[in-house]
Amino acid sequence: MPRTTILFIFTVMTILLVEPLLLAVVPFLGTAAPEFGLLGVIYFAHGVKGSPSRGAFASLGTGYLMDLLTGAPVGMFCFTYVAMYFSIRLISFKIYGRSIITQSLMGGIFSAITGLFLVSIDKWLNPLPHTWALLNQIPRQSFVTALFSPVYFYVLWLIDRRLTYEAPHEGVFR
Amino acid sequence: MLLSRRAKEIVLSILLLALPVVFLFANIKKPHQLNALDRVVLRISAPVQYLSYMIYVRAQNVWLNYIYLVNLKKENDQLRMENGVLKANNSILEIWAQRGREVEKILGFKEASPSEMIAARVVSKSLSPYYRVLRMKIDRGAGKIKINDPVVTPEGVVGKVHRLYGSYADILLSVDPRVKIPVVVKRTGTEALLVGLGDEKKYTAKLTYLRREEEIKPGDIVVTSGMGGLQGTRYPADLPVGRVTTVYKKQFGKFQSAVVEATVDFSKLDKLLIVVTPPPPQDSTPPTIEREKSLPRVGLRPY
Repeated sequence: MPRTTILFIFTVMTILLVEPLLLAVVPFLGTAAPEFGLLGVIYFAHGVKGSPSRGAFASLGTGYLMDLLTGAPVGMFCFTYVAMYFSIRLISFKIYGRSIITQSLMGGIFSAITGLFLVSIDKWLNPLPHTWALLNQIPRQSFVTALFSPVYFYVLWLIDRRLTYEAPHEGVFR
Repeated sequence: MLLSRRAKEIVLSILLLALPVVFLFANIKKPHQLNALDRVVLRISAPVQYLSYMIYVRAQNVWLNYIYLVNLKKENDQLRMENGVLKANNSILEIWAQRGREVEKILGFKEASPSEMIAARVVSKSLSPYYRVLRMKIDRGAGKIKINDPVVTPEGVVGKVHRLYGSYADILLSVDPRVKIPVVVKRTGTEALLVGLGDEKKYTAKLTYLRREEEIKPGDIVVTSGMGGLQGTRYPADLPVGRVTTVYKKQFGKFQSAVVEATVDFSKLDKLLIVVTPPPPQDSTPPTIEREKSLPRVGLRPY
């Protein structure tokens, strides 16, 4: 089975099983929750080299699932995740993500950009009063995502290394 | 003509970027509408999420009921004492309720709400702070539920049904900017429109179309007005929605606004009630302008 498919299935299972459990157990900052879907997209783009369309397909699938689970109009997360995938892929050679701190920063910054993207598209397509108030959520959401980024990237890398032959053995994002 | 591998990748990438845009424009007007594929994915994913949530609930039950029993005897004694006081109060209230029923009978009021309520359990909390949606499992009578039906708890209004798929549904919380509820400030009887603010940490909403001359104070209770039709949702009257925390009154303009904190703690929701809205009475006579004018105005009256 291709690397991206295995990682995609793992990301889907994390979103479905781990995220609701974490939300119920861990007292996060309000309803801010780690964006495992986005972290999966970052890993597809930065950690898996090869065909970009395969990673984009996986990002589209993850976004579609997020659209359905969060109650967003279908296409919102799909578009954002695919756009994020291509953006990260384009600047991939400039990103250093080997240390825990840089992985955290990467998760936090991309989560903030995703949040900004989602709120802006929502405001543009469906103008409602107070939509901009949702921008307040971005710092908290980025912070929680940043906290979980190194752990989740490490778990993805472990699975990648165990189940596929192409994964680097030296560590995450090597 | 055969395309090179690189050209194929570029074409595929553009298609993959364009596909969600098409999805988005097709869904933005009616986000509650789901196609067959959406329904299949949701029906498969909901039990998985439910399983995860149930594992947590069971583990918590074992911990709280069998392991974490510190101060149990002390609490029991205190509860027994409180129970005695409550029993005494209850008998007094029973007498008052009996008197109330007699008065209602005399005045010809209905004894209970005509709305039917269906119980549901929360399956998963909101996965994204940008969309205030809860997933729930409907225990019985899922067929009677429609999109936009109000969702409540004894503590107050929770929101409305956003999407339906089998015996599962998504609820849009009352603090979501997409939800509008006609309300009344209980103390003054002032009508207003409550719109979610999206401030997730405090679960707040804003009172709009609140007439400037009305004296609204922090601490005032806001309840549903029972007027309906807005967004296809009709909330039962007198359900608590929130408490006024801040009032914004300018020196000019027709309206003032106020921030309301929700009475329901959305982070601790477990069991919910869906109000199955009765269909409007069928009228065979065609509407005329004169007849429409004679009908009572239903909905918000800001002026």
